[in-house]
Amino acid sequence: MLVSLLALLPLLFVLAVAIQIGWHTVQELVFRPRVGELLVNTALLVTITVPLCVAFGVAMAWLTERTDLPGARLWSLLAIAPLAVPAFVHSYAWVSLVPSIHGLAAAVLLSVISYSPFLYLPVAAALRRLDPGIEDVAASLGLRPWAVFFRVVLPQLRLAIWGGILLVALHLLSEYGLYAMIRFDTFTTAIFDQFQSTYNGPAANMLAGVLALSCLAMLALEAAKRGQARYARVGSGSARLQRRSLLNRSTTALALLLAALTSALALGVPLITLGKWLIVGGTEVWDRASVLSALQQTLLLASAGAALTTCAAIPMAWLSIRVPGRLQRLLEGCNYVAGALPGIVVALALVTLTVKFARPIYQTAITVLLAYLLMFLPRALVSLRAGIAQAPVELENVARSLGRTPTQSVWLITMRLAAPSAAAGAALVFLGITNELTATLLLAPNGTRTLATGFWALSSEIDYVSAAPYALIMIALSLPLTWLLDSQSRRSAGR
Amino acid sequence: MSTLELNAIDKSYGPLRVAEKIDLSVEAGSRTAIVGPSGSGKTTLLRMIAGFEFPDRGRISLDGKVLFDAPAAVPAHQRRIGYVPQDGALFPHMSIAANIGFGLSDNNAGKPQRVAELMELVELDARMLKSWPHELSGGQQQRVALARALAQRPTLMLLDEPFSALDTGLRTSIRKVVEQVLAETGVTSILVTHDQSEALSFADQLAVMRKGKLVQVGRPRDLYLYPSDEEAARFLGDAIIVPARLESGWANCELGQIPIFDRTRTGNAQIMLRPEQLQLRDTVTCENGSDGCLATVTESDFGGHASLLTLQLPSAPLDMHRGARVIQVRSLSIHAPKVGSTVFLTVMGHAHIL
Repeated sequence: MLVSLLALLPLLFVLAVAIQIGWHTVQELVFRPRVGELLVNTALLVTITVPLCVAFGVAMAWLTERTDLPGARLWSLLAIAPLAVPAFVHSYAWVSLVPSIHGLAAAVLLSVISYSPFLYLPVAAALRRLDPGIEDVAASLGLRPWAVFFRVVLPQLRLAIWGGILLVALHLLSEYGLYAMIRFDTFTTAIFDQFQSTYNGPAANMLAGVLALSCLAMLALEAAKRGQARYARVGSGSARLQRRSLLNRSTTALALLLAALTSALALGVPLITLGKWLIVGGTEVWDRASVLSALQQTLLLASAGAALTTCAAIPMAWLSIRVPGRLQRLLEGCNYVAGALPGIVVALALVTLTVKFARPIYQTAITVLLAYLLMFLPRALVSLRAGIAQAPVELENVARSLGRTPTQSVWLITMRLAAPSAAAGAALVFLGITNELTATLLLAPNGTRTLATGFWALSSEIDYVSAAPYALIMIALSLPLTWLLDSQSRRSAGR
Repeated sequence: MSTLELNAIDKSYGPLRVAEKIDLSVEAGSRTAIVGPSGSGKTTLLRMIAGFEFPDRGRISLDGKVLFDAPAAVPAHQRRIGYVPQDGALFPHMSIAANIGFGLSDNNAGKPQRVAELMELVELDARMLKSWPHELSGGQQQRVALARALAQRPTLMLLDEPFSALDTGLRTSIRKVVEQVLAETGVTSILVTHDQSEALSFADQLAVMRKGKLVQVGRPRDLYLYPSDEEAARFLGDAIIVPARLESGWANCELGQIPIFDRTRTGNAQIMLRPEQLQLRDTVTCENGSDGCLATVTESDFGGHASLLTLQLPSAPLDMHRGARVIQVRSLSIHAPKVGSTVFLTVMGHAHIL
């Protein structure tokens, strides 16, 4: 409850700032050519990147899940693997390989590489869950294979595709490091620059307001597009196994080429660059104490953040499954909205609030952890909810009938059963924090140097050699994430 | 002495009344079955007794101790009422031994021995103690669930459709085991089911529930032969319901003259017969003048051991009917008359006036 109210802070903050400085100033700050320019930039980025990601994600998902593409399992892992590389590391890899890379084209290329897994994952999971009976029926009604795909399969994937689009769009709006490195101006980079030059000025806050509104618009669009149709299998009984379509030789070659090219761009480039810098740097770059201390600080912050977030999510997830109600849904909704807001908006809100009302915690670890809580709570919540939903309430009832108090029953039975999901949620939060850059840069106390901020500081000074170890550790820490996501989506499909 | 008492229990979910003025008393050591179609509120009633849900109004007491008297309520974990749900609901993360011992306190030295006793009671092999719930068959899981509920020596045992997830053959054998265990331990029990034959054979006391109300409570045999209304009659088994004119201990209807218990009733009424009260004879062997009526076999559905015959009665002899009537009777397949033949119908026993 309290956490949910906390979640509303960033939104309230934007509103409060707007009211405080008055409509006239707001107009002056918002309706000016610079904002228009940023809007055009951001809009172009979103409208070009998103369809590309959709095409890419759906094609790869179809190929790996529903055709006899050789090595489908490997390609499917490779399609998710780019997630293990933080977006700004992608950017770093490309910039150091092709120093002249910049502008919209570069931004689109890098965004597609970094974010298509967000479409691939849900679409592949949805494809796995589709009831092949529906396709059979469509074929028996006289539809050709292509028509079956476009009229039956694709509409069934709608939910997954819109979910993926939302994720990609939100990332495009909130990413800072990726675009800053290739000198492509979006709202987020502009807010950051503004904040650094004027510190807590109304200009940065107003830009944050526009950004927050764009994110809310995305959420609303996705909610509207989700529609009322039912996508779960109607009827009882278990579905038959899916049949894979056979590709002929030339399509197989083409598909392999597509898969190999994507993997080369998404994974090959970072690996080659990193490898190169690591070789150049030799063992010397590892010797510096700063790498070790950054790793320590990151692990400390990330574990504290993950523990805090998971604990905060437990009561909320339990309530939303066991006593679902309108209020509960609303509270939960607040969290998702806050989680969708860019880190920079959350960070700005917390800076302003702590400076005004809670000076003692300004620039302390508490504020940083608070920001992590707001940003990553949805991750923990989604995982935990699924886990608790799988523990039937009847088990709690039985435990109570056997003489355990309600709290004991929840703890001994439900939480024990939900523990794997809680751990998965905590891991997702942990990894989110490990790779978090923007909020940490803005909020962390002086002298804090996490892997992400350390990497950022060094690569901003074009010290690519010293930055490489940081990137490597981040990727190594993130690799389990891809494995986790993959196995989670497989398990949800019952395999 | 009566152990469980429910007085005027009311419960609604929004506009939907799931329990309405329910009064029920359950004798110590007896077996009660609550039977009703799905959605009749029987499971909710059971859950209110268990303490998982609370009535809006009313009073529940067990062995003289008040469990619920609005708004005071004893929580589920202090009621010592055993509960076996539909699918057993074994704790999936615990071994069989841990499941059965869940209700026993950990520092109880006799715990392993008690668990072993319970395993023996429900006729399970002690080697299964280390197994996991998912390694057991449905019937075995149900036995474990029963043993787990018995561990804390409950004063009352609630069984919520515990056999419905099992297949037909297993169902009867598990039911026998459960009945036997309950008899051995002398635990008072309440079974909720939508299967009337299960309820009839399990219970000492049967309660028929419909739309949140207890329609009739009594001994199974009485409820079967003397149901309170047509719906209850049909719910507990096949029924033949015909209009009749009552007169000095007899009911006159298309099927002939049938004795009734109540000699004082006169006038028109509906009477009910169970199909097994009807006897078919072929017209050749029956001597004229015996009481009964003729009927034509119009359909015969072969169903293995018995066949379902559709019989057409000749046009009504009395003014109270509209045309010919059709009744359905089961007959042993080897004796079943052919379609188109005429048979002679006689009625055994008394008719029940609805």
